[in-house]
Amino acid sequence: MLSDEREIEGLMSGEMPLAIAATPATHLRDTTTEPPWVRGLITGLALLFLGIFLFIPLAAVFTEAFRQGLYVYLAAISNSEARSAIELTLLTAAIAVPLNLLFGVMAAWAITRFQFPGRSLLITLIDLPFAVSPVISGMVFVLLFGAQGLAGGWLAAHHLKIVFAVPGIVLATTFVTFPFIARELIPVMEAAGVEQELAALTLGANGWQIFSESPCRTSNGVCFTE
Amino acid sequence: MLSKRRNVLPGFGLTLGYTIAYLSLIALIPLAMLPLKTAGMGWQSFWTTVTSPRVLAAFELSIGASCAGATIDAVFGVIVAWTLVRYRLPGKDIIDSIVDLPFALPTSVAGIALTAIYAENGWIGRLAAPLGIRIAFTPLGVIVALAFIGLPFVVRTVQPVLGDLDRELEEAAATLGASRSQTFMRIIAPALMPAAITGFALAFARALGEYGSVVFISGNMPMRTEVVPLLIMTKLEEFDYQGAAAIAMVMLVVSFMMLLLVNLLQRWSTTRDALG
Repeated sequence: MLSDEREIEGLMSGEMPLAIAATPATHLRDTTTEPPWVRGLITGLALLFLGIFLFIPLAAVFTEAFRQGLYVYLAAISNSEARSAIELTLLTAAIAVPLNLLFGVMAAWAITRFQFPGRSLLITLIDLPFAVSPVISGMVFVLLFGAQGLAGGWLAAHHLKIVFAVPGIVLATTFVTFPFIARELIPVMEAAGVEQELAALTLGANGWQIFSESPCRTSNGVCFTE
Repeated sequence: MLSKRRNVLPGFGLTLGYTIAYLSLIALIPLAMLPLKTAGMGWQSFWTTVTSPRVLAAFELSIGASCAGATIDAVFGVIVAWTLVRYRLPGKDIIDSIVDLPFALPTSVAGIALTAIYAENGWIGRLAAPLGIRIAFTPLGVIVALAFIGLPFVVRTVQPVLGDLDRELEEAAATLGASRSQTFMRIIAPALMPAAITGFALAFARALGEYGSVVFISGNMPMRTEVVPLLIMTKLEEFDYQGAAAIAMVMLVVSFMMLLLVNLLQRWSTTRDALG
């Protein structure tokens, strides 16, 4: 029985270059992995799926962008319209990301370091923009600040423009991206535990010193622009 | 222990206060506009709006296609995560980082690329056309787009759980005479299940609200390939703010319920871990 398996394994690993030879030098069968043909099959399925659903679409994006050559591509991104669009995108990110970073750190500290009633409701609410359709998040700002909106009259009277202007774009981006940093930080700070902070406290550190030396500073937010 | 911790560390009032204030300003007040706007139209006209045939057809397509897309993601996301965690593969780091791209790519770019590929003269559409399968501009195309944008959610929720999985449990199962498939069914699958379901729910919630990529590939035919977010956009462009708010309200409730489900699942799996 055992020798049979070893034989099959030897045969199969020759045909499946992708599957690793899991058998170490001792030639014992590794009990925590699959037979090579299963490994090959799973790897193949994963690569096939990624190929059809991910690599080909991404390849299409790049071939489409560079199809007429690098020169045309550079010309396209350097015309004034495209440039101002890129500038606006970067500006939006430059405002939204620091705001959300501050929020994420604050929220993660409150949620992971303290127990309070409504804690899980708060987590769900932070997640909400994540699940809300971008169409809906855009629409609520129109309802709030648009000409027909709740604050629209007041804004018009003071000659302030939010919707269909830069502040609206910044607001909507902030709304859509604010769960990200909090979401990334919460598990990290949860896992880091409070021992170090408590130790710092016994050594006489004040609140700000604890915070700036605490392990959570190692996490950095990722910027998602859309 | 807990009560001590609450008192010892500083900053509770400041951080919680700031969190709630920011959350209210950026998210809750704007979102409160939806129930406010819907309340203004009365129950009767709300019901007529959300049960009109065109809206119902859009909901059917949105929920059906999101479900199909998220199911594809759940199945293949687990396979991809498994490959990335357990097997050695040339270029694994690159594959690992590319998995995140649908997340970071502007959705309209994804939509244009997918349409180009799956259209009848595209790279993949050309292969499917002789078989009589049209992908772009049909519900099938919607499913493809939704599966594309949902994939990172499943991979990124399953991957860490799989990485943390205790190998010793599998070894113990093997020493007790379990075959590999038995070990998988009895030991690995139950541990992965909460993460896979969470990933499914996240992909589903994201797919339900997806607009940018679907607009290009679906063809946007009313009653056939029109998704709910697009219908909301159409209503907005017609200045039918109340109609749009009514449909959006239904979507918001569905999204909120999906999130609640995810959080309940996560709590369930952590308490189960603590017990086991």
